[in-house]
Amino acid sequence: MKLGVGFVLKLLVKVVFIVFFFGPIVLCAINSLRPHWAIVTNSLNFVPTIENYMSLMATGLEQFAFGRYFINSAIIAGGATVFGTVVSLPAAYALSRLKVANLGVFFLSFRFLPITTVLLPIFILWQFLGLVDTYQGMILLYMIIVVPYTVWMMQIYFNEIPDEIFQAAQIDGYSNLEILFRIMLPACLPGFLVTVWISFLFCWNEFFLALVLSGTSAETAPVACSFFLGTLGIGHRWGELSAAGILMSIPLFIFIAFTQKYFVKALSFGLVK
Amino acid sequence: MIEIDHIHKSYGETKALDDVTFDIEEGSFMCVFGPPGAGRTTLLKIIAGVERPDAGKVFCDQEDITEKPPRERGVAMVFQNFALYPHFNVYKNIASPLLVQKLPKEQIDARVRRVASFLGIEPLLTRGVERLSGGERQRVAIGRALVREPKILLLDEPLANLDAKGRMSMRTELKKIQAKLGKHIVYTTSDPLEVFALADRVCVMEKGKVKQLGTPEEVYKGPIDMTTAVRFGYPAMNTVKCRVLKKGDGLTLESEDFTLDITPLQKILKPFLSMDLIMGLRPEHIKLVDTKEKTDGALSGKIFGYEVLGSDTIAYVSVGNTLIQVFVPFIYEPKINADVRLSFDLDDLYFFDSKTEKPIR
Repeated sequence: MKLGVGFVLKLLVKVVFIVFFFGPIVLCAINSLRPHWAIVTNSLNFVPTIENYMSLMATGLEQFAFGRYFINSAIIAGGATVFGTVVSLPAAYALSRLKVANLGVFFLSFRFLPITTVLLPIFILWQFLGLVDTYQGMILLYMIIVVPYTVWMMQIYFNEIPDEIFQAAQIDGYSNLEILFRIMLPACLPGFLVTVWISFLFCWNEFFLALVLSGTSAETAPVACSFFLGTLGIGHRWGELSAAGILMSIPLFIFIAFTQKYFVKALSFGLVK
Repeated sequence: MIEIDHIHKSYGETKALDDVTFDIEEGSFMCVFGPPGAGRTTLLKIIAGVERPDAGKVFCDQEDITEKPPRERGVAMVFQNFALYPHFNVYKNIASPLLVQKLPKEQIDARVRRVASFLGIEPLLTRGVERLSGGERQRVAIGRALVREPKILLLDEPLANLDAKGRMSMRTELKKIQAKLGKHIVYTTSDPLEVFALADRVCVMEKGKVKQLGTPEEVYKGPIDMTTAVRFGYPAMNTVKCRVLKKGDGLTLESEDFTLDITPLQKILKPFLSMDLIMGLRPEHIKLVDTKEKTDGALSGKIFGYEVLGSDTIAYVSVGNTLIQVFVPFIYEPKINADVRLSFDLDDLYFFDSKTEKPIR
């Protein structure tokens, strides 16, 4: 086999990229299987164990019971994504096709301010409405943040579909809802999946708002993760933190595994015509 | 019968349609002829109901359908870029208008297969539309339009995206379709050959206005102005600036490069004595003859170049500085700069006012 300079260089670049992107994940995975003493002493001389996961999931008194937070996160992020998408699709369709006033920028303007600026008013309003520390409250809050973005994204993907296809569907006799769900959405499925994905990712990872607006009953996994960083007075628990990180990544890995081919398509949208 | 009644449509500052009025009779094949930007596509979209006119009405069998949604109009449209649904296969694309109507499965299947076999695309039914050639996509688009048995079939430059061979066979195909359907067909094109091959009637449009209505023959023989005369014919009509002068008892036509005895046309041209005119002469009305033969009304020139188009040839002959196109109905490969004479019948000449470009006969 010939080993030219080009080949070696390409390989080198690939290795650097892989280390850069996968290194932290691998490190996190290793740490999650490392006993507490091995992390503290920085020893690699250990037998892999699932004790971190056990301790993380244990539900007894004075235990983390991470499962609860995980489920909270799933309900809140899932709920916000599903309801957010349901609301966004018709809005994006209307903006793209029905020649309503151009409200796109207006929609996006909800995202112009840093969220800290509106946090206090939101908190007061949520308290008034009895939404603090509830699933509904968190879902609604995340929807407010995610919807402008999904509307904007989906509008861009819808705009890519030629007018003629929309008009052909009208002539064929599809109603607006049918055009949206049977023609437009399937035709830009990759873009749709990416949009859903990014909105879910936001809700799944969001920390700041959850910290302020959720208490004991709707606390999400990212907030729970902060417990391991000494906030509960139990010291830094790197092992559990890593295990939590790995657990939280699993749904994302599963989603990507099933939708990978669409992602490639969506990200090359408009390039190949 | 479809009546287009004083339709106006603007997009911002641009006037797409400006007071367009004409009728399309039942069972007739109407070509809307004009250059790009003439408003042809907008007109079809207004008939289809996917665009609303700013003013004016559309009637179908005396019923005002201007406000009716597209699905209730019984129209089908083939778009220039075909507008197939990218995520459906050929079968679903054709079946789509029937699927919306929620017809029984067997009935849909029978109709899709009948249309597909008529268009010769039955073997493609399970294929994704992205894997079809231009001609195949075009057939699928026509299939989708025909499967619902529309009252009005609108075709927007359906042959523009095809190669020469595909265009020929599709023209024949369309003629068959019309004979079979006997419905209203409105067809837009910028190719006069398509108009001759297909249309019963032609509507010449330019800049959103209807310029002329008639049979293709009427427009060919009596174009409304010089632009139409030049556009409506292939190869395009030759035009030469000239002036009518008196010479003895007769009349002559003087141009920069030649003088022509036009005494036989005295009756028509006498009122235009010493006025600037434009003479039009269609390439297919000119014959190339041997230099030795002396023919009346003949001009002499030199071969400047030629283009063989399959079995025909377009010869370019320079008469002085004027370049004249001549259509030769066989393969003709003359020597460049060879002397030739152009012979034509004086009755085949067209004359236009040089200012208004209106015909004076």
